[in-house]
Amino acid sequence: MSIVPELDMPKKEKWGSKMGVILAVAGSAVGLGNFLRFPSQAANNGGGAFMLPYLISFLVLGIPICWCEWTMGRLGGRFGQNNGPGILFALWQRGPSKVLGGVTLLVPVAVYFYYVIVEAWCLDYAIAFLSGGIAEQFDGLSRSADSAGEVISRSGEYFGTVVGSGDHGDSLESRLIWLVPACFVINFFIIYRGVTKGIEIFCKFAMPLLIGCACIILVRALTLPDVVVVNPNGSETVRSVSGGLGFMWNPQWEKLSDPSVWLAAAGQIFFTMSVGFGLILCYASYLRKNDDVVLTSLTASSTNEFCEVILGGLIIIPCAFLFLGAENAKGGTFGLGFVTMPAIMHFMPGGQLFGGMWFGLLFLAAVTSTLSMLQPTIAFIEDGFGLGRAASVAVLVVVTFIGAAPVFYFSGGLTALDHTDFWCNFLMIVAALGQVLVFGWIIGAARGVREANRGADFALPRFMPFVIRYVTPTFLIIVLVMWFVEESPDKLRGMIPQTAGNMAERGVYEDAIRGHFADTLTEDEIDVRVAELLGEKGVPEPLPQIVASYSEDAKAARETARKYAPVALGVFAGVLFMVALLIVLTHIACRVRISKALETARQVDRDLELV
Amino acid sequence: MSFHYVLGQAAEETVRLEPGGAIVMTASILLVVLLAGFCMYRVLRERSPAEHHHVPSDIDTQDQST
Repeated sequence: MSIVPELDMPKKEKWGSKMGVILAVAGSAVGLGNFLRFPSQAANNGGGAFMLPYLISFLVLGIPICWCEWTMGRLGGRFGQNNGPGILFALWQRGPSKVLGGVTLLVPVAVYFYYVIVEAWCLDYAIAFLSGGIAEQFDGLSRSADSAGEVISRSGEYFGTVVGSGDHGDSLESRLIWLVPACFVINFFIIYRGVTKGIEIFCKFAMPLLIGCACIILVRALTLPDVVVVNPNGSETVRSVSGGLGFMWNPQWEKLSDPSVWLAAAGQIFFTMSVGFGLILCYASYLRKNDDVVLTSLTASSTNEFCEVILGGLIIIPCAFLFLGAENAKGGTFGLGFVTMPAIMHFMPGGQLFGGMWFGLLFLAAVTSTLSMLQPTIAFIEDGFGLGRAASVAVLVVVTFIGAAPVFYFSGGLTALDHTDFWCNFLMIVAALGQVLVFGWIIGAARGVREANRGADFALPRFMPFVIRYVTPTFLIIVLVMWFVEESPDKLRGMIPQTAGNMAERGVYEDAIRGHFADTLTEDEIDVRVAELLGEKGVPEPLPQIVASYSEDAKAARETARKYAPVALGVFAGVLFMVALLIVLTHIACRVRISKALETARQVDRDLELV
Repeated sequence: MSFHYVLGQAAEETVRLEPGGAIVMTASILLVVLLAGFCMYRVLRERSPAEHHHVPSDIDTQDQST
């Protein structure tokens, strides 16, 4: 005889321990953004001064959204829902919740399309370091500072070969052709084992190992000897780790008057904490009714910050400054991670081992993140369509393969990856805004905070309802608008062949002018010179003498950009299609199974009538 | 995607960790360590055998006959 024969609530998995869920959520947040994006953003946006907007964003954006998502996730779990659409529909049974639910489903799985490829890059580099393959790239180059340019050049060429950025289809010729499937197998094997036996056990092993490896590399980085550089005029300059730390952390307070610095800080907090787009919603739904969410959430966030500020902030930029100089210590995420870092390891004593360790930890960080991207969709297929674990995994393997294949194939200029990332970032902020509004205005901030305080290790501050209702949504809207205004024009123009070609052509001339004046003018002065020589947009006729010799390169860049534009447009169309498809699937799932599950849950758990 | 690295031709200036940078760096590290340490302490402190007790609704009797 069943305990509750009239009801049919499926047995759900639960986290095995509090530390397990903390490490799983921290693992979801800790990724390349911590070790590569944060130092890059800080160094390019005021150094130590960047920490002020960063801290404010952490307090009014990151932490409140985390608490909202954890609370809604745990509440949704009581309705028997472990997926974003189901949880949001349980809390707000209106049409817009299905749209929001569809977006929370789309973002993780779309990010997976390209993140699994980046994961494979990390694995490729780890193997190449440990097997000596990277060292071969630098054969014949000395370890003195004056070879830095050549080392970086070869490192860049190697990166281009590995990822196939030369042209579409080049990735098929690289080792990634079997490393990407290997990553698929690893990720889906862990996912197949389930939340407790798969994700939790893996993160309990991977996170301490990752942090341990990073600490070893940190000690190595901070104890590196000084580097003496002989300048072209014969004088000598001594670079030290302390100087590298100064390069990273010396505050440029005047930069705080630049809104883009505040936007960069808010964006960094938002993306590094992996908040607002359904991952935490899913993970928190496996908590029990009275499990703490306040301390658990804060612990996961602080673990992420530890990896970011301490391990991310003290390793790569100081090392890059030490071995490669200030000119080469700033760059984007991929440039720093996959071009600069291998170059650093060439100069670092024991670089082969430390390089292997570094990319090994990045690989682990990537795996823990990709697991969190897959689980929400697995839960949606199981909860929404009643498929078993094996069938859900099989369906998701097919879906993610179909999505990742074009990103992998259209590797020229990393166009597909770059544009997928852009639209996912946009939808992430939309999803976060939607969730905060649901928490603050649909559930009600005060009621939501009371729910958060259920079983909490300590209660949320009294002002939190006000913050969640007004401050965080306002901040998010500002971030969304500013970010879109700043980032979208180039991305939108990049979809139109003619416009993309014009932009690329002008870009070559701009780079040439910047290179020409790099040693003599400040960045602001260079901007003025660029505008004087090239005009505000387009390319002037006739060309200024200073850039005339670059016309062949510019034409080549123009043709390449024209060739890549349809891919960018295809990504946009693909994202739109997926949004529509997932909203339809969410609608069907809500009508067919999720509504019934909610009704059953309300009968089993009478407290839910109060929600 | 291309990567542009410029090697300086002028004499390189010596960069040092200034007092302001040292203060911001130390304060940031301390803040993060204290926050993470406080949270971990609270989490580890409450770990006890009771954490693994199960409420009746968690217990699967494997009795599914109707």
